[in-house]
Amino acid sequence: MTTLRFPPRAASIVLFLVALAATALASTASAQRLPGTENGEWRYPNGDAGATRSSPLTQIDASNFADLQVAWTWRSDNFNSTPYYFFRSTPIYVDGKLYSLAGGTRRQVVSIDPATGETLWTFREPETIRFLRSPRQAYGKGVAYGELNGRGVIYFTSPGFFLWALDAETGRPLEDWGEPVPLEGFGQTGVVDLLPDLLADWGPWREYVAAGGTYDPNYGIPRELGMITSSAPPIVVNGVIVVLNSHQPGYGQTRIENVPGDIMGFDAATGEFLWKFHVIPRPGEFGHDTWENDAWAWSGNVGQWAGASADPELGIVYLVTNASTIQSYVGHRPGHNLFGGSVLALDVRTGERRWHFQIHHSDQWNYDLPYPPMLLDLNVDGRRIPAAVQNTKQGLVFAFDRRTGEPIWPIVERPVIQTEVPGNYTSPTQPYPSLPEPLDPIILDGITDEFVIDYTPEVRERALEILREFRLGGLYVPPLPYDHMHTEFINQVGCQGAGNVVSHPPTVDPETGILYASHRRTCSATGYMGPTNGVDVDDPTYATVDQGGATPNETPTTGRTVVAWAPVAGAPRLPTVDGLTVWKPINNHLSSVDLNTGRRGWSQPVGETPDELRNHPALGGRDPRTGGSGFSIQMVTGSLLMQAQAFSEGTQQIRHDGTPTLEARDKRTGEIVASVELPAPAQYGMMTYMHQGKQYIVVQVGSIHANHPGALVALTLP
Amino acid sequence: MRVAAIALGVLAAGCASAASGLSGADGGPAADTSRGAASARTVLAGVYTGEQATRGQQDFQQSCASCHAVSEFSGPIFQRIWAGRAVGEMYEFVSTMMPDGDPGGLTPQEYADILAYFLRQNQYPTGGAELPADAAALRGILFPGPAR
Repeated sequence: MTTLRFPPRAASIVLFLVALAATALASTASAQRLPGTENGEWRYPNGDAGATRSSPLTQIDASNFADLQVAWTWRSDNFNSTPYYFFRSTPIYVDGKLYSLAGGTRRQVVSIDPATGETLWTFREPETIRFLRSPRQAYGKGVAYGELNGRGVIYFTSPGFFLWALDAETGRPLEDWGEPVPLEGFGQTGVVDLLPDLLADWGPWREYVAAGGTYDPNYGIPRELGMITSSAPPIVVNGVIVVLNSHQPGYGQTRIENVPGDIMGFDAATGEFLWKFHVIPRPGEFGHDTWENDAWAWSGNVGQWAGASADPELGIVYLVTNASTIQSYVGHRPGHNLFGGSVLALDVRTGERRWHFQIHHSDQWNYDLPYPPMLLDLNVDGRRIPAAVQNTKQGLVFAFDRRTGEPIWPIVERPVIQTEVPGNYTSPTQPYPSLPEPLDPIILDGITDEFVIDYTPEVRERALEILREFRLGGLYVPPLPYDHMHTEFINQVGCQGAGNVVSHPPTVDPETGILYASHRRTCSATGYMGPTNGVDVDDPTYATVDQGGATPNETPTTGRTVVAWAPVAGAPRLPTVDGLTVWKPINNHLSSVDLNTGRRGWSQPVGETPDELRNHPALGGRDPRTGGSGFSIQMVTGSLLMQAQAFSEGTQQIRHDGTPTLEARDKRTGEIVASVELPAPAQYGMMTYMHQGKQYIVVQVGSIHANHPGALVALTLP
Repeated sequence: MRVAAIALGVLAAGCASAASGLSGADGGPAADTSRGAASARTVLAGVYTGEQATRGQQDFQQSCASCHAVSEFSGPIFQRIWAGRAVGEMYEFVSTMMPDGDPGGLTPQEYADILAYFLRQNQYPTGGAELPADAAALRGILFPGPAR
């Protein structure tokens, strides 16, 4: 059952924990769900307000899963100038209709007939230069739903950073809502330009205006000041629309100034601005002292591209943040940099901070939090705890009492390797939960003895010989300067346990408190850092009207001041042993964690071990059950854990091997109990709903390698 | 043993390398053998075409840009680090370790095109022939300057 390689004692512990998990499955069946999936609905892109990606529906179960048939396919290629192979948006199902973004770069809103796949209406924002400048055009993850006097309203934020309210029945902009936008095609209602409210109290903007600068709603923020856009949909809680935002990825930025991703609340009934939370604290605000060097005044980013969850009864919205401007070197902004890399619990009525926890200090590893806190009730040592559970790219899992932010189990600050890049800053310590256990224990201390390959004694010895040349760490291993003078090692090696889980989000079962998460082990030597001498590379094709959009991730950076040091290729890498990684591989696994006890349960490979590895002579015919390529996406229903191998990651499309399938797995063991084919590889997510007495499963699919554009595929029983 | 294999270098991050349990075939010191090869020419001789670099730019966007900025592969420090080293060394690493989650998943031509894109980013001159998708041939093409 358990496929991770453990020493005998650990293996017996795992078996015991699996038994514990089964006990928990049987004993906590009355857990409360947050709203969103009652009556067969799926009101939030992540299912319920708690982002559990679960539904209590049971019509499709292990006995009939294999009979599932494709009911319809909704393709995105006619909504883009060229076929687009990603479909990041997970639809919502409310009041008998589906609503989604169309996939692709235009981010059109669509309503779809849940039984037939017929397009009922579409809405497209008029083009602006600020839209073309957005590095996140294709990254829309869905839409939000609310009701005004019994009338359904679809809310969404665009890459151009406008907030729209559309009549759910017709797709038309809502009457008497928002403020007119003085641009051709925008009309007079149903929209709010988000930039003026965001900029109004921002120092660099006020200086720009004082110097004679004016606001251009077509272009947006002047490039030398910054760029902001959106990825995740807003969330509507207790009559307030909470607007999230995003920026150019930090690894693509080269200049240190940008606009902060302050979080804003708007009145769902009128579009009126209500509040703003400064993600980079101003003087006098909590956390301001974590920005040394006065960096608060000109640093930006700290966006919330991963989405949000909410507890309407507590009146709290839960968000997660990205790092500040520039990845890899932060010498210009020393300090922990609150509220970067944090879980934020805000009062949805006022925008005030109820609590926060910084998951990692001074992020410079691209460890931005990729999924909102999952909200569910746990049973910990006989106490019922309303919890917020945070999954991470690192492979760490954090659990809090969502009312107060109190960690359910102690979180320990552990020393980490420090930067040696001149002028850079790293936090001396980083937080590690004592429980829940990490998805992969290698991240605690890196490639220690138990993780070194031991297919044969000779292979192990050669692996150890290689490792003696390196300094080894777990998480938070910083890159060395290219001209470092170390002679006792040639480079440093770090390990990561989960991966970019935005493209393979976890799920939890609110009935049992079990987390199911995709993870992959990666250990590698860090890159080099080199001085920029104040020079960066510009892109002469930066978006202008009629010239097409900025290319995601390669948008020329905003700001004025080039960062002092930047990554540069060419550092010594971690060699292999005749092609074998020196560490025991986990390529693609799906694992369970019992959040009531904090203990890992089962771990199952997703996909097959690559032939080249399985047939390697050193393995002597043994299958290390590493899993295949890609990641795993999953969803919990009342009866099953549904799961598919996914082959998309960021802008990358991974070649798939074999026939794409959707699996039904036993929640208690992870074993596959039934399987059906998909017309193309799955990606990003799935959802389920009950419509006119039939349960449907919608899976996002697409692959350039299968020549299948991004699409929604609906499956149901005959 | 002094380990001599060289990587493009990935920051430990949401996008780390070497995920398959099976990495490139150049695990030993072979990656260093091209240094100072007497018959080698350099990238200053015009070893790729503009069309190839444009293809490589598209491939980079599709398969690399999720984790890497193209600025990692150009500029004076990059050129200093790679001085005297072979394009083939970079090819062998990229084609066996990248992209993350799908090492070796691109075609040899696509890997060569991406390297051509890097050469263009460094403003090395174009020539009449494409950069070959052949590790052995690429080991005979060096970055200019003395090895560090």
